[in-house]
This record gives sequence, C-alpha cells and structure tokens, in this order.
Amino acid sequence: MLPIKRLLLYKPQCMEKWWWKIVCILLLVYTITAGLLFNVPRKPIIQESIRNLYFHVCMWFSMMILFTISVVHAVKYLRNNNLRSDILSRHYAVVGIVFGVLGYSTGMIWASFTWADPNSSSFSSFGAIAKDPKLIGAAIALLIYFAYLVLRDSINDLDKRARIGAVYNIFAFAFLFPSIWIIPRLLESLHPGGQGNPALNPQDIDARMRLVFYPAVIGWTLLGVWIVSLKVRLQMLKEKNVLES
Amino acid sequence: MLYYYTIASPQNFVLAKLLFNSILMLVMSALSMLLFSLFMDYPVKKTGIFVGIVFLGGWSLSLVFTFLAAIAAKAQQNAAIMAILGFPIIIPQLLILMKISSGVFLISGSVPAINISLLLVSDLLVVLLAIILFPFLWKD
Repeated sequence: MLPIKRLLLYKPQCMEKWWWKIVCILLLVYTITAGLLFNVPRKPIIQESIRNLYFHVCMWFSMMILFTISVVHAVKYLRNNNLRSDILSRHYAVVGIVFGVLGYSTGMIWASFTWADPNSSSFSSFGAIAKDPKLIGAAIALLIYFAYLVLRDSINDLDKRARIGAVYNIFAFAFLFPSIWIIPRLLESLHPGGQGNPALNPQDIDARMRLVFYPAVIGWTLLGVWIVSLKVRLQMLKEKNVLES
Repeated sequence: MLYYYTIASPQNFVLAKLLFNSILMLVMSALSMLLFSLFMDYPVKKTGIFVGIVFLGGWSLSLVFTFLAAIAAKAQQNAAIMAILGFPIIIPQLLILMKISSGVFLISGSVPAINISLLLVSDLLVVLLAIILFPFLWKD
C-alpha cells in the first residue's frame, strides 16, 4: 500500500511555480506574431511559406524533446519502481505523439503549396511525395509509439504494465534515431538537408529566422510540458477518487 | 521459468535465444532459396551476393522478432500484439533490404555498401538492446 500512498501525496513542483507558463504564453505569442510579420529570406519556390519552419520543424523538435523526457522517466521507473515515473512516461509519450501528428499535418499543408502545387517548378506527383524517406521514417516513428500505447493497454497488472511499457519505450526511442535521422539522410529525399545538419547548422538557417526559431522551439516544448502536467494531475485525481470510493 | 532463473543469467538466456533463432532462420532461408531456385526461374545474376543478402535479411528479422516475442510473452500472449509491435520496426529493414537486393538482378547493378553496413549496425543495436533490457522483462 505504501507506493499508493506516496502516489496520492504527489504534488508536482511545477504546480506551485507558474512563471514558466507565462514564459510559454509569451514565447508562443512572440512566435506567431514575429513569425508572420518579420522579414524572411525569399528562397526560390518556397518564397514566403518558409515561415512554416517555425511551426512544422518546431513540432518535430518538440516531439523529440518530449520523447526524450518520456524515455528518461521510463529509465527512472526501471531503477526506482516508482509508479509516478511510469505515469509521467506514458503521458509524455502521448503528447509527443500528438505533436508528431501536428508536425505531419503542418508538413502536409506546406507540401500542398510547394511540392504538390502544379504551378510551382518543384511539382512532384503524389507517389513521389509519398515515397519520400523522411515521411516514411516519421510515420514509422509514430507507429512505433502507437504500438507502445497498444502494448500498455493489453496488460492488466499495474506493475507489469509499467515495467514492460518502460522496456518497450526505451526500445522505441532507440529506433527513432535510425528511422527519422539516419535513413532519410542517406537516401535521396525531397526534404532539404541531405548534406549536414538541417535547421541546427548555423550556416544553413538565416540569422533573421534563427531569431524566431529558437524561442519557438522552447515555446512549443513548454506547451507540451504544460499539457502533460495537466493530464498527470487529472490522472492523479481520478486515481484518488477510485481508491477512496 | 523459475527453473531457468536458477541455471542461467538473463543475458545468457537472451543471447542463447537470439542465437538459436538466427541459426533456425538461416537454415530456413537457405532451404527456401534452394526450393525457389529449383521450382522457378533463376534471374539472379550475382549468386554469392544474393546468398549473403538472404542470410542478412533472415538474420535481421529473426533478431527483431525474438526480442518482440520476449515482450509479447509477458503481455498475456495476445496473438495480435506481435504483429502490432513488429510491423513498424520491420519496415525500415525491409526497405533497405529491397534497395540492396535490387542490385543483384542485373550484371551492372550495384549493391551500395553503406546500406549493408546500416543493416548490420541496426542488427547490432537490436542485440545490444535485447541484452540490456531483457533482465527487466525477466523478473516477475
């Protein structure tokens, strides 16, 4: 019964500190206004839609950061057998998936104006777009995490579910790197960045865009963390109700 | 399972499973390659490389599915769970295998070495992960 008692007394430190939520809101407001109003370099074909960088690429960065936090909590669970780490790990994975799906949707919107627009010179048929290695790699990453959620739901015992979920979480995280980062770099792709490190390389991204991009990544990640903290608090309340009734 | 606790450490156990399944898969791949070449046309132009690719592919699949079977065995043996867990992980391996095997059917076809090394590295990754993570699955 002891671990359950510790679980009920859980009061996340982030609840008492509210400053980072204000920072999150300010950063996102800055991202949206500056993203749409500041000057951007006009590349051929992409033109002004390069502003989508602040949304599409930021979604994927936030997803990676949230999955990293999820795997850290999974490792913590395996070391300490504290169910709180398991709950955190699950919710971070879920919000990471949501950000991944959002990244996919923003990518689709972007592609409909650049790759799929028949009037632009980089027009590719739907088949060519669907075979893009980065798209396939990202879809595989999302599918692996969906399988993680299915696995968790198929086990009834709490401790077993947490343990096996943590093991699969580490396995899934290790597979993210080959499928999203390594394989698309090696195969020819419609995506930019076949040579070197796109978006992180200081020479690759214009200084004006960097001004909005880095705060945007932090803002979107903080939003993800905020959503997770709310979900975890809700889960704790539900469990408290179940145990007290 | 309690009996296995007493005689072997989890790392030895999972290595033994991986090794057994690899050998089983190699034997089955060799057999099916033999049967295919007997009953159907033989369009392969570079036999040595093709045999190597068949073994590499069989080995990669067997490693991944061995580890997934260890996970699924703890998840109440739901029949569909193996397929759901395995499907996304297998896709990149199958894609790379398709890419490298397309080179053996033409005399001038090239088999890029970097893809082969990528497959080998991902196999190594799976083996290492299995060795590190299996002790946690093992205890009940």
